[in-house]
Amino acid sequence: MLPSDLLFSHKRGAQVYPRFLRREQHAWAERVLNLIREHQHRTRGELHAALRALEGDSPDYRIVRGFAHLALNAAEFTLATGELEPEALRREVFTLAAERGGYGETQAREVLETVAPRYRLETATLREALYADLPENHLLTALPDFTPDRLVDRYNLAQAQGLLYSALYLRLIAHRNVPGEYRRLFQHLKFHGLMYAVEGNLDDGYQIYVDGPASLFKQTRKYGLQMAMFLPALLRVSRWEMEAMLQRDGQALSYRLDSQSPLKPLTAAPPAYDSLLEESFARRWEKLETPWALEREVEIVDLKGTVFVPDFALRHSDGRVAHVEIMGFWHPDYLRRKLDKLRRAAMPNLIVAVSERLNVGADDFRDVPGPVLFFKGKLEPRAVLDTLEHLP
Amino acid sequence: MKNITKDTAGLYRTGRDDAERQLRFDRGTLLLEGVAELPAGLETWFCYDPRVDAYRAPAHRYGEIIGPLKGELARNQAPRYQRRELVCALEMIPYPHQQEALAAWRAAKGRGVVVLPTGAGKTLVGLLALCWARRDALIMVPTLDLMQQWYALLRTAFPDQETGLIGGGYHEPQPLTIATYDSAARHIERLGDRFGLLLFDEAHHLPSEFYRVIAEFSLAPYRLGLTATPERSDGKDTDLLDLIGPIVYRKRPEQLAGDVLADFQVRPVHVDLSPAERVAYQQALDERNAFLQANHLALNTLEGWNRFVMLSARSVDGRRAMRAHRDARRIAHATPAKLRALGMILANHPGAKTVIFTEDNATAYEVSQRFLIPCLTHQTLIKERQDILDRFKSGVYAAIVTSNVLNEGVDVPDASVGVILSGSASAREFVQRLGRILRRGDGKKAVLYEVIARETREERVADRRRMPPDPGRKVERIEATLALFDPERSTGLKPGR
Repeated sequence: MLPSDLLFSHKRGAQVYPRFLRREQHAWAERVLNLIREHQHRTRGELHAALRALEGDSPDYRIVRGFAHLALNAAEFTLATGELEPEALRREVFTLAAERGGYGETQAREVLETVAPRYRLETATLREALYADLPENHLLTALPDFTPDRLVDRYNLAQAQGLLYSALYLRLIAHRNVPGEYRRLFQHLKFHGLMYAVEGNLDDGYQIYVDGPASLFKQTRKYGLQMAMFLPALLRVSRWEMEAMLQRDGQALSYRLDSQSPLKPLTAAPPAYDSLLEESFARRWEKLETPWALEREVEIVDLKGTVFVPDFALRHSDGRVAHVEIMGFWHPDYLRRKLDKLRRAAMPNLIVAVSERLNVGADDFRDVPGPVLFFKGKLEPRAVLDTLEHLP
Repeated sequence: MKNITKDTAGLYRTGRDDAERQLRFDRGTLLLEGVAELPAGLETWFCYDPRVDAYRAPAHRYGEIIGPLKGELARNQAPRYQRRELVCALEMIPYPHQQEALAAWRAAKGRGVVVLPTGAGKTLVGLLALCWARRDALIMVPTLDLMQQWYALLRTAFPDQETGLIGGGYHEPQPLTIATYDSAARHIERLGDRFGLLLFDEAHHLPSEFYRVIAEFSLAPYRLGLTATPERSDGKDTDLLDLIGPIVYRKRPEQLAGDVLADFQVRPVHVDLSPAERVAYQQALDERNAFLQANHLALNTLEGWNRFVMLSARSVDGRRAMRAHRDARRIAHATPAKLRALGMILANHPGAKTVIFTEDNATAYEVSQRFLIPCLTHQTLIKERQDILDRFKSGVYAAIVTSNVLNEGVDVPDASVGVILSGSASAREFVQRLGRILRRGDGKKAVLYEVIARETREERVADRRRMPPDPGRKVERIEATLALFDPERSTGLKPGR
């Protein structure tokens, strides 16, 4: 992400748009990266001076600085003063200087002349060496791992994130996404300390209203930074729209974004299935001849404070709908929470398939309204199909 | 990190017993669960939160809420702070004004702001408050130096008590914890239930948009603000009433002078730019002004300045003009003439404890390298910083140079000469810089030099009223400085910016 002084946006009415890079500005990314590469094993001070020279009097200077900021966040600098210990050197020199009883340029020169020979240095070099450990004298040791294109992507994403710094709340509309995407979406919201309320249904899509605990009392920009950090996770979802309500200079503005946006997420796509168990179940269902179609576009159940997202939906050509939740190998703590969720979700048309390897029995599912199916090893699609026929 | 709070609203709640009415802390708010309907009289504070199907109130209302709510609750899980018997190992003999300040704060039920000039021992008032409140406490400080200073003090005063730090690379919440405002604001969502007393040192920092959550997201019933200068140029100082409490005690420097503060004297030193510098300065100004004129801009208002910043980003000419503006500033600030003047001042006070203030790091390092005076900037690591201050206190070093870091509250005893190289005229900064050398001494007379380049922009900052250079000028300037202590008396000198 970028500091506010390197962010650009423009307004049209009550809409605000991040200013993404124009094609001809992309060239700066390569120039900045080349310059950084040329400065490997050289000082931060030199690199900064070179970057200043690169931007020159160009009105694009903030783009240069933005690229440099993002690239150098991924670089490493190391202190390299060799044998000299600047801190000890300062102590020695400053103590000697103080002992002279009065400060002045002549006295300073005499002190340096006394000390310099001990380190086999010129007096002028000694004067410089006093602060050789300052950050600007650190050496660039590890280069950032960026291609120019990736840096451009990162820059544009940072501009979009920057708008969210002043967000009061987000409204997300999501529909026809696979369960894993929904789960990760909610996991990321939670991870960033955000809260949400979910409305809607499978067919029309879900509206997810995002803000933070204290937003209840007054609208606040306190959660804007968290929303900005959350944005890359949203880009991992397949189909969504976002409207962010911003407050800037006392003005209410809206920023809209959707899954058609060219913004690129930070990380590689996660696996399509959360577990092998699910994947093999889905693959074997395909081979079954049945009017029940297995779909991954599922329902979201808002449990007030958390959500329940089943693994699969099953749709019959006659309009009947059921859901399947597979409980495979889980941590005991997770299992306890999952059970609590199943009870609270109270879905009569939800088939819970439970591995016999888990330390749970039929007793644990007393309050779960739907059918429970225990299985050994792999979950047989046939067994699910049988259960389906017995659903009311 | 120890003591992670589980943010339960974000995690799955298990085994919740709906019959049980409980209050708990949830990320800077109070959550009342297990109530079908809100008990009467609580609607002032609580709102229904459909996101979690419970009632929620702002955490900082805890003190007001808990009285009427107590009888309604099966369990109160909100506060997680403890009662602590704090036995102070330090022999404290408070001055009358310190005792009065504590009494006034106690009379206000442990919520309020105490205003005392720098050097009048605000920290001791804080220590007295800690001993009185006997609750786990979080102390907010604006700088790492102050953090260090409070840490040393608490270690000495309460040697048996765990003292933690948050900020400056540390994250150790303890019953007594010192945090920077920055770090406290970042972590208060998770820490707001762990302290019964919040102590805000240099409390005028609190009302900013980013820091105010420290007060809002904490349920601490006791709150004390300490500051020399509660006024803020954005007018938000009135928010202190809600965030901490009313100003319960206030004393001005002249009300304490003689008693506590050393007598002081201000001597402006005007230096001239060298002919070459003057040419460069003029060229830079001309270049900038040409751009301003061409674009019909004036810099005497904030709006004009903002337009200049905006326009300058859009064209090559604008960029040049902005650079020229900066060059002019740099010439005025870091002129070698000032360093020559500094040499003169140092020669006039051989062996005197001297603190030199600069506005930027580069000048601080330049002074350090030229005169071999130890230098403190925000880049100086805590260990070395402490070493330099210790050696300055013990007299090994006779002078230190610093870029702003000493502005607030750092204990530098005994300094009798202060030099401001390239300062600005913000009232707060000035009072605090003066305060630095006004610490109680043995009848010494402190001197503050303000080194100003003549005929530059800076001179106008230092003296908004243009005065002809006549013999009466010095006297007037000292009066103008004094007026800074007293808002009612200050007429032409408003805080800068």
